[in-house]
Amino acid sequence: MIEKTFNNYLLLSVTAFLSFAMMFGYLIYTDSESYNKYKDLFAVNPNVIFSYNDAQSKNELRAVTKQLDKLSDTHYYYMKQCVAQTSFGKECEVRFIPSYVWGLYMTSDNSEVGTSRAMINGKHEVSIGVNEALVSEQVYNSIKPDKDGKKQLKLIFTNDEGKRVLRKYDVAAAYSDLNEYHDDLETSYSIGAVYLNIGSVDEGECGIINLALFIYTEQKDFVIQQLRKSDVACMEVYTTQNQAVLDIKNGIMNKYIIAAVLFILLGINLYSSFTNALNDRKFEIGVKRAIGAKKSSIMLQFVIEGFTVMLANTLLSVWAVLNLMNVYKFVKEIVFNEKYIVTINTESLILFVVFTFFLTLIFSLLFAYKSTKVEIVKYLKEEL
Amino acid sequence: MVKDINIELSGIKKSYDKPVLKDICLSVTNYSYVTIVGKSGSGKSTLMNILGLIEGFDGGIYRFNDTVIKKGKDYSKLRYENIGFIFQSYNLIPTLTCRENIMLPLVYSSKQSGSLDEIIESLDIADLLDKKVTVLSGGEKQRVAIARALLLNPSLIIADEPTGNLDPVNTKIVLDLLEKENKKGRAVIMITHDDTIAREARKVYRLENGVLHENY
Ligand SMILES: Nc1ncnc2c1ncn2[C@@H]1O[C@H](COP(=O)(O)OP(=O)(O)O)[C@@H](O)[C@H]1O
Ligand SMILES: [Mg+2]
Repeated sequence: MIEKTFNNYLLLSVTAFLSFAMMFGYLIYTDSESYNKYKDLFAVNPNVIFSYNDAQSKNELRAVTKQLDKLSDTHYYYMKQCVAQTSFGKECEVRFIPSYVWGLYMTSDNSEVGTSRAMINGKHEVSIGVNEALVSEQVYNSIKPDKDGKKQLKLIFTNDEGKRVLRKYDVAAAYSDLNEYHDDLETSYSIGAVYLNIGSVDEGECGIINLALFIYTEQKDFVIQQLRKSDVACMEVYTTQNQAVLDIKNGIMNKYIIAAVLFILLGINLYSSFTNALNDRKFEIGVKRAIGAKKSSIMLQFVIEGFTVMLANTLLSVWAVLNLMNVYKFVKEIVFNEKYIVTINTESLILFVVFTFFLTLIFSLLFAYKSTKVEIVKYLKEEL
Repeated sequence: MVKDINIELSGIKKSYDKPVLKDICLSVTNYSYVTIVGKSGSGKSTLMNILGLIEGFDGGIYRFNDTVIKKGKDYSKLRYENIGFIFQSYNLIPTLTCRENIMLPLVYSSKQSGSLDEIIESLDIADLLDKKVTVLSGGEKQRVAIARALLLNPSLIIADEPTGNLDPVNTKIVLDLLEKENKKGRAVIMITHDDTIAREARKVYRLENGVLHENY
């Protein structure tokens, strides 16, 4: 009996399974793709804006900070940059920061985001004392430990007049840079930057070549506008994030459109599948009704059967799609060596649940209703 | 114990594309054994379906016990409480076993089956119970169908050419069974096209031009 009923629902099951799988697959695929595309971007605090210029254009930055001083919900600090010689032979970039900063930004050529953030021992914030240095892992590994096993960084600065001075710093911490420094690029930046407390050196001892401004603000639009107006370079993720949010919103629109189209296509398919299933059962309905089955009993039977078939196929399609996505993830990670996270948004999940629930409800009820419209006599005459 | 049955038809009309039944008058009570003959297409099955409350009619009065039958209403309760159907083509559900077919009425009725063992014994179908319907012979199928019809202890048996597909041996078995059930007090209305059967019957009607003629 169950086996025969299953056969009766095979066509319907295949239709429902494929359609639900298509819907769920589309949702989880687009959500995962957009999550993986944007996860780095949204990990960056949009309130932090980074601006830089060469030391000669100090005044332009000053003009900006004058504006920023008026804002109560905006904080900033300067970071000065120069180049120094290390004791292990390479040049490295030195950046002077206040003793407490809320974040460090690095420029990046290969990041989609445009900027990414250096993490220091897993934190986005760091404090460095006078005569302490924060170094990249590459620098840290290059320093030879002294007799006590301590690592001390020795830097030789050259000022604008060509005067050289040697300074020693204790290594406070090493950071791993999110950016990849290419070893084949034999530049001073290839080993990552050294961060020093601004109080550690006299400006006259080292030729400052760059000035950077770190801004933390709640008024992102205004600050970005000021920076652009003053014609200083500005790096911020806020605009990119807004674009991404728009992108994602469009994605949601697309989801609803696709859902509506699928709903109609699926509706037509399910209708004919249900009608087929019902046609095969008309004789059974006729016999049961002749025996004395009430319309409601027949209806209940078909509601239950319809619901069971649809629910089973919903679960089956979700299971199948999840497996498929895991294969995709596996391929991404093993073959393409990209970290990939399979995820689905709450809205998508709600959309899917509503989608399947309504199709199940509408068609089970329609199915059941149509089953009661079967004329008893008409189908009894069939020869066995 | 068989329940009381008292049905009365007067002036029943039914047309499809053309009139099939024009003025049917008939009364049936316990112990009635009515046989109806008539040409193919004369409307015998139509009359049986109306009697069995699985088809409506266009005019006339049909009283089933105390109930006046109205058009468009569903009388499933009267059906399972009173009527057992037997058809020429058996109308067993092929996906079910014999036992499931016989027990099917119980799914839709809270009524306790009268005497399943007795029915099975008297129909000699104990060996068939777990078989699929599709593997049975015609005579076996009809006995299973009769068992299903008798399960809820009906007061009225409606048999539409029950022997139409059977050989003489099985025809005799089925007729004897109906005779036996009639003796218990059940009313039997049977259609046949077999003259010998009709001649042996106590009360024979001929359906012609939409009207029943008595004592053919
Ligand atoms: N559901 C129906 N729709 C239209 N015509 C029908 C229907 N059922 C029966 N008829 C017609 O009514 C007439 C009587 O049919 P039926 O009662 O099956 O005759 P019998 O059983 O005496 O052979 C036939 O002409 C048949 O074609
Ligand atoms: Mg007929």
